[in-house]
Amino acid sequence: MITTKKYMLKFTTNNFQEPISYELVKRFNIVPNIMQAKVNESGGGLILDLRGEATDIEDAKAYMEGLGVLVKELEKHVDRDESRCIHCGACVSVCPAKAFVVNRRTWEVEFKSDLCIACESCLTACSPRAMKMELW
Amino acid sequence: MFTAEEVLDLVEDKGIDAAFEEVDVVTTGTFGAMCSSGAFLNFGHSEPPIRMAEIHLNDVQAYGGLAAVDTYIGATQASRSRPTEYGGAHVIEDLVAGKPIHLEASSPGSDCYPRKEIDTYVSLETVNEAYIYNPRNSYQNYAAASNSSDKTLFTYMGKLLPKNRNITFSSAGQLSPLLNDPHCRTIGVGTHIFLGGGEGYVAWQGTQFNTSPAEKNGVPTGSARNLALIGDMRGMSTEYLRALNIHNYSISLAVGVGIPIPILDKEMMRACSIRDEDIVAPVLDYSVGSSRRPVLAHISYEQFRSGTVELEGKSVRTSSLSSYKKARDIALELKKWIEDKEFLLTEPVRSMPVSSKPKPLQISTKEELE
Ligand code: SF4
Ligand code: SF4
Repeated sequence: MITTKKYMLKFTTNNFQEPISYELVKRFNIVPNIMQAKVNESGGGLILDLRGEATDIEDAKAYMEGLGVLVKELEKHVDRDESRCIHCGACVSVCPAKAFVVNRRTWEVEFKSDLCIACESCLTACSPRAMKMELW
Repeated sequence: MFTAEEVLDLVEDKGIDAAFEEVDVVTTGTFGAMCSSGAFLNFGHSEPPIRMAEIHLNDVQAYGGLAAVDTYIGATQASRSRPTEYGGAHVIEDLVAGKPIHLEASSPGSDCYPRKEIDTYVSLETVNEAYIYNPRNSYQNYAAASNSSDKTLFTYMGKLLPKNRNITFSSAGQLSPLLNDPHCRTIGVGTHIFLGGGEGYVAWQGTQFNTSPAEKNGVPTGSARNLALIGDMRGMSTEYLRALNIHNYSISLAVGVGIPIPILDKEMMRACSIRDEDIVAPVLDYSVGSSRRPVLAHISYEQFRSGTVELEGKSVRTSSLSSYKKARDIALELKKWIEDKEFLLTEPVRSMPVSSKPKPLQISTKEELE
């Protein structure tokens, strides 16, 4: 069964040079979709979607872990605390992924978490602090 | 009984004259950041007693310049230990939620108030009086914001993306109390209101009360009148009183206000049929750090609320900072209270100023003012 899962990968300077994306495609038949990449002197991190057979994803995960890459599945990266959301809409215009949709009948601001690319822009726009980064 | 939103369909169907025959009261609502807010508390006397001079509630400083155990906690006061995380507004929200609050106070001590320190917990249940007093709430319209500079700005009008990539606005528009009674014909000192989920009153004109902004369609096109409000914290709810952390600006309090407007005559009926498309606000450029910011455009709330507007030939996304959903909930709730006879309308005991314009603060010498 083909599924898409969201992962956070953390590299050290030792495994940073590995051609991981290439291997994922080639060896495991997985389509990676990188949503965020950060690099610094101690290594780097990626947030990406892996799309493929569930068993292939598991194998790819084992392969990456074998290289010393920290692999963490992200169920929800940025999440909303529904009890704090006041449905203002401050988040709407700062979200590049258009993950917030104002329902024009109820005037509730709906959060489509599957569209979220974890850019964090809404965190500083949401003053009731309903939008939260779920830390890994 | 209609909310200021429901009444629009009625007026459209039947016209002002027929609607006037049917409508007694229109309820309004607004829910947004209102920085000029706070609460008076009286703790009661301890044994031995203390005249509290330095007061902290959950590490947030409260005013110590009143009588022995009275204080005022302001919404925007930041806590000593977590200044960007927690402040006066959170203390108010926690009190309303019924949570215990850490009270620390000190005093030089005196013959009649010998105690010098106290460290205890209080809650909304243990204190004597606890009432909200907000010097400036429920603004009648408010300028919208954008940012023409190259960097993101964090302002009291929210997060403003560079190069005018978004616009923020903050008004309940057609549901907003003072936009439905634009010249305060029915709203005055003593008007009974919905405040923070409980009951309150209009206490006075709000600070910087301004009757001077230009009008269009009978309502001001910028920040104009506003109200000072008072109300018992008991009965209030965190649904309608919510602490805000406005990033890189300050802590603030979102306050829910609802005001019933009696439809005295056809003129009031007409005023309460104002629509978002008739209410206009200027868009100010917040990249200019002056109180005289350039106006980029005048745009109606109908356009703001549509999600995108045209600005200088470009399509720009908008964000509401106040909650239209909560404004609607408040107007509906207030309507229900009145229908259930749990809430009575009052006639004001004093009118709002007919003409008033706030003065800027001049830098003056003592001699110039003598
Ligand atoms: S900014 Fe925060 S509180 Fe407002 S609608 Fe978005 S998630 Fe909800
Ligand atoms: S983290 Fe970015 S993409 Fe996700 S909801 Fe917030 S602003 Fe949108």
